Amino acid sequence: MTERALAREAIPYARRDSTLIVHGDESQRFADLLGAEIRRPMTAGMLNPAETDSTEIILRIVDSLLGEPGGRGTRLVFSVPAPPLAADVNLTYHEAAIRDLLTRRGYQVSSLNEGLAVVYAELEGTNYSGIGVSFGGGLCNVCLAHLACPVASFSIPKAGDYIDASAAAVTGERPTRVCLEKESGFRFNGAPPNKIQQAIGVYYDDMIQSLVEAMRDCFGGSRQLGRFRKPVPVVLSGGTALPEGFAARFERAVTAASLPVPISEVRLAPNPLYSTAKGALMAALAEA
Amino acid sequence: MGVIGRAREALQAYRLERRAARLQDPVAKLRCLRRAQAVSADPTGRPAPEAILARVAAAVLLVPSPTASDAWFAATLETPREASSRPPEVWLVEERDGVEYFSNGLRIDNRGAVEGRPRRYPVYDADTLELREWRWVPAGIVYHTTESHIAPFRPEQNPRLMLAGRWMLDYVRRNHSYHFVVDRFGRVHRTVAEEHAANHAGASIWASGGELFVNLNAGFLGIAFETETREPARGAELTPAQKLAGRLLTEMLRARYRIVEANCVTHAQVSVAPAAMLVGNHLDWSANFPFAELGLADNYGQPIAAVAIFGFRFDREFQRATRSALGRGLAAGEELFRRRADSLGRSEPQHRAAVARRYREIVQALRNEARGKEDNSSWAPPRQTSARPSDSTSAPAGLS
Repeated sequence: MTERALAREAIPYARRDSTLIVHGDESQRFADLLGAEIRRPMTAGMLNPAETDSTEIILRIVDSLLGEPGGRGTRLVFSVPAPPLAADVNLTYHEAAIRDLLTRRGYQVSSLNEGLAVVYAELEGTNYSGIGVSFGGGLCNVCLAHLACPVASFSIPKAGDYIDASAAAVTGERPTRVCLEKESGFRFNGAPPNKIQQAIGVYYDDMIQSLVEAMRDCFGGSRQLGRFRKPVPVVLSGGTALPEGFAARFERAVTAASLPVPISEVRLAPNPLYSTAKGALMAALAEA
Repeated sequence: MGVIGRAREALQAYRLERRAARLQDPVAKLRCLRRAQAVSADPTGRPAPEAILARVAAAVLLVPSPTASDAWFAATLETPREASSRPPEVWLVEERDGVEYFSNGLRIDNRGAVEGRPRRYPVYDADTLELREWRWVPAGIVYHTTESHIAPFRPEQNPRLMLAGRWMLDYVRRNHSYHFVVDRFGRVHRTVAEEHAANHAGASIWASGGELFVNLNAGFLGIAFETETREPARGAELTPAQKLAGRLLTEMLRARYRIVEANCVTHAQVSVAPAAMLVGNHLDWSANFPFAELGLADNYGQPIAAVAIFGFRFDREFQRATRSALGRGLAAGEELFRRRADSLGRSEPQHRAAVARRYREIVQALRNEARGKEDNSSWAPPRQTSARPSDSTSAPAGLS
């Protein structure tokens, strides 16, 4: 019966023996309805080592997004995170596994740094010079680029999941519940209406502060800053950047930190959820 | 970066920016910029207007630049390849009982593989010698010989062949010496996990496509063939099974990591002795490496990057040992170095001093990064094949 209901509602799912696995956006709503935590095929921006079905689920998500390849050798660019700062994380397996999975689907595959993808998507007006930031679930990815060439890139492991988990820990809620609250009603402007939103705000500020400090440290260590003769824009993207007032809050932090690269503006991407995908598409078209 | 380098870079960026700004189509603009970054000079080698300006600047300012940019130099290192063989698609079919089976017939025995340390390595700009980025996916392959004692490849020698192979593998695993070993029967053994660094290249330098790699333990995968170099000028010999396995393994790794042919090189091509500023600290595969039989273009003619970029020298012994194969790469490297010094208006000693200083800075930065954890020793070819007087990193006994 459940399966029929899922099919009727066009909710993506997979059957494994007697288990139904709901994937995609709806999984979060289902988990909340059932009072359970969602399973995560990815964590901290990479394949979840604790989730045995991670690649299978990713494959199903890819299939539901892309359908069948339009012929062998169709070009496909996927984004990969930059190495996290101050964390001993090995990204090789993640990238190789995703590459292998997509190659086996018949695509001609290449990878693109996630922050650089944001630059490609949103900074055409400055000839692809500037800073692209993607605020995701597991990681915040940053790339400073000059004329489409990455000058410095990094990620930090404080992002949406960190906010959810931290706020959940201090409020006694489940992270999924906090996440739904964050995505449905949280805003920076005005007094927080409840304890959960107050906690979310605290950890948002913590994430912003950590990221801006990392930008200052990482860019300060680059020997190629002399290339930037003009102030460059910062463009923000990703689901964690969606709350109202986020860009203004980030801009205040950037201004206070006085980054080693002069900044012309801080703005939110027009479609923050799609910036990385758009940048990957740009790269694929440019490679063609 | 010095005044000349900055002037040139600014001019190049200015021209590129103007060219890109004229393009209305975002994709065309992105394509233009990406291609310009990949090939930053006229491939004909004619001096660009910026080069003329840079020379004038040098003459007027008389300021030596330690890492001055020369776009011609980067383009030259993008050596035109012979008909490039794109590796066929290779995928993992299954893993059973510790053995991986691949679609091209390759089998890798994972039993006994050990872990190294996670791979993370810097890529420098071969032109400016500045840090470009950090990476974690292998950029190339270095081919080695195990230099272990080997028995004649005959049926009656089978017990000795088996025993020698087993001892050699034990040694390699204990020392995390290579990622893969191809034994004399063509069996491929994974010795260090692919996603980790192995102690195979030690002090080493390579460059291609405008990218410079220093100390290749992390950036390059190490494949060792169980064989022995009796005479460096003649190189080592492989069994037919080893050549076949080497080809399949190379195909798989190139397909998996998109490794370019120019980055499939031998240990002798990349090995250096830093203190003496000499190339050829190790001499394995200084000749006779079967590039063609492994499905690769002959890389022996590529400029030796340590000579071309950092002005490393070579002594008579190395010249004698490698005249048949590496001689072309050494000569090309020297010529590049001379032209580079000339284009910057420097004498060779001046240029050598400047780039040597930069090399030492890079090595120091790498040491700092490793925070003393890295063990750069590699399993050096013993006896006559590693007879460099200085910088010998380790000299383990051969198997007997």
